[in-house]
Amino acid sequence: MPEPMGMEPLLKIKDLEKSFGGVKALDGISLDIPENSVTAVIGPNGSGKTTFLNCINGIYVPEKGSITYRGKSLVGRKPHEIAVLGIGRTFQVARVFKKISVIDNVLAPVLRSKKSPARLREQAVQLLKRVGMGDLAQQGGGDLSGGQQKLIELLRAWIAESDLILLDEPFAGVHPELKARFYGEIREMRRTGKTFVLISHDMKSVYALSDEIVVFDLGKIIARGKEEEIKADKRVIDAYLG
Amino acid sequence: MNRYSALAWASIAAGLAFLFVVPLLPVSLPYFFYMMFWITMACAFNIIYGFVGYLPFGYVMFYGVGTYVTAVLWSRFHVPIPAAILASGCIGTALALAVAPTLRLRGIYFAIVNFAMAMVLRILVANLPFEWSGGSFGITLSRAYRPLTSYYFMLGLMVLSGLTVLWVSRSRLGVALRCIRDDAAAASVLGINVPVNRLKAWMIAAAIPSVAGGIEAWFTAIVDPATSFNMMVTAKTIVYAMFGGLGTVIGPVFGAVFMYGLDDFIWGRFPVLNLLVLGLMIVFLILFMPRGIAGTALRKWPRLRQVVK
Ligand SMILES: Nc1ncnc2c1ncn2[C@@H]1O[C@H](COP(=O)(O)OP(=O)(O)OP(=O)(O)O)[C@@H](O)[C@H]1O
Ligand SMILES: [Mg+2]
Repeated sequence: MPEPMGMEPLLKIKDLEKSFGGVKALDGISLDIPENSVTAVIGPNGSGKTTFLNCINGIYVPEKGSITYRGKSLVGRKPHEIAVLGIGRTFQVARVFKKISVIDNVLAPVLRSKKSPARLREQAVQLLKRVGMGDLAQQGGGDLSGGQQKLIELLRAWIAESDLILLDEPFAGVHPELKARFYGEIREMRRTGKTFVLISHDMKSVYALSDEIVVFDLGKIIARGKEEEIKADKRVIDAYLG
Repeated sequence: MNRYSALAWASIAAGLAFLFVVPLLPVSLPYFFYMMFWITMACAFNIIYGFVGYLPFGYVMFYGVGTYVTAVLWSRFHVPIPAAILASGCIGTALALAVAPTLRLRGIYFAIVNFAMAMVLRILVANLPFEWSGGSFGITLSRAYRPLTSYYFMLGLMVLSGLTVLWVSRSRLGVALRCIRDDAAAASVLGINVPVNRLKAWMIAAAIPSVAGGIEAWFTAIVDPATSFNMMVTAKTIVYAMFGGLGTVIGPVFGAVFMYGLDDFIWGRFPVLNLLVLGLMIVFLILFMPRGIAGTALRKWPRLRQVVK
């Protein structure tokens, strides 16, 4: 039966493979990400979660498999081309530009936007205020704490109006108060139609935020489903939760 | 506009007014011509090293090619000087485009390859057909000699390159370049086209010294390979720009004025010591003042930011 219109997944990944030397970091990953969902990716250290994101946004080129976003193939495109298609990203260790101001850091993804610079600036100020960083706008990026830097990365995805946002361990090393802000922002963005892939070791956040959980181990998907299904899966317990 | 920036703009205006009337004053015209030349070189160099973080050790090549294009076009092809100078800028920029693939190299590799290219170019130019380039004797342009006019050309170029740096610094290109300098991979994930932005900076940084070379050839009315491809041109540009403070707008201007003055003073009295002092300055700068005067001042008095940046 043909799929009904509008049900095409936002991101379609098929048989993805990527190795480093002898290590198969991704070993045949297939996954569909529906629009306006939060898909959590969990798994032990080194199971290929970050590599997965790096393939999606063009930092690595997979040896095999396909990645299709809104019907367009992403494999072989440069990271900046993929960003322009509407895919945003945060890093496991936040990558905020140390020597430029906080506000310019937020504005970095919209340098080529057609909107007026004044309006974008105003929007960036509002966003910073929302997350309680209004006073820091003129500080250097390097003056921020690790958690604040991670929030800046999220604000970038917001101002860039990315439709698909890849979050790599957004809560690791983040102060509980900031974490609450993160939750709020992610929920709000979700409400406005955004789609997330969320990598996290923080199971509470995963259960609270995600629609589906995908479990990676040794570059393969060993289970997927909702909280209860994952918690009951013997292989997941052995590989990760146990 | 606060008190500091008002003061800064006032001093810049005064400086320009002074340079404008220099030919009427009983002072050395070449001294001020070369001061403007070095300000221009330091500003242009700032765009590729200060804003992008690439250190072209063969930076002299753009100046050198600029001198020769103007000299050859004028002397062998009877192209009017202003058109020849424009051609210097175009060919220097084309050269930058031709060697752009080396921008894929990073750090010291880029620096060394660039240095090697400057040496190759020097040999190529020295071995052009004798009727064209006059071999190692070079070319004289004495019939085109117009020190006053060429002085004002240099003044115009200096103002233009200062405005260019100001524009780059405040434009989106400037923000993109600073992002790239900090973390190129992260910039690219944010949608910044790293190679294209780098290339823009590289071409601007090449066009200016190429034009400067053309004007300088006209001012001195003589061009030869040893002078046009003298590695000291690169060394001085680096030291002057670094001394003032790279990545700031005003720093290289200040550095060039001060260091050129010092250089000239020492050169006049102790010709042999000059190179030694220049070498020691490089070591001192890298060890103790990697941010230069403007950068160090900025750290101490962040309020100066609007003046310096
Ligand atoms: N650039 C690289 N060069 C070599 N090996 C790499 C590279 N990137 C990842 N790997 C290897 O690929 C495998 C998967 O790494 P990856 O970073 O994707 O794991 P992860 O699931 O994100 O782990 P963690 O939970 O620790 O962040 C590991 O064995 C890792 O050592
Ligand atoms: Mg990881």
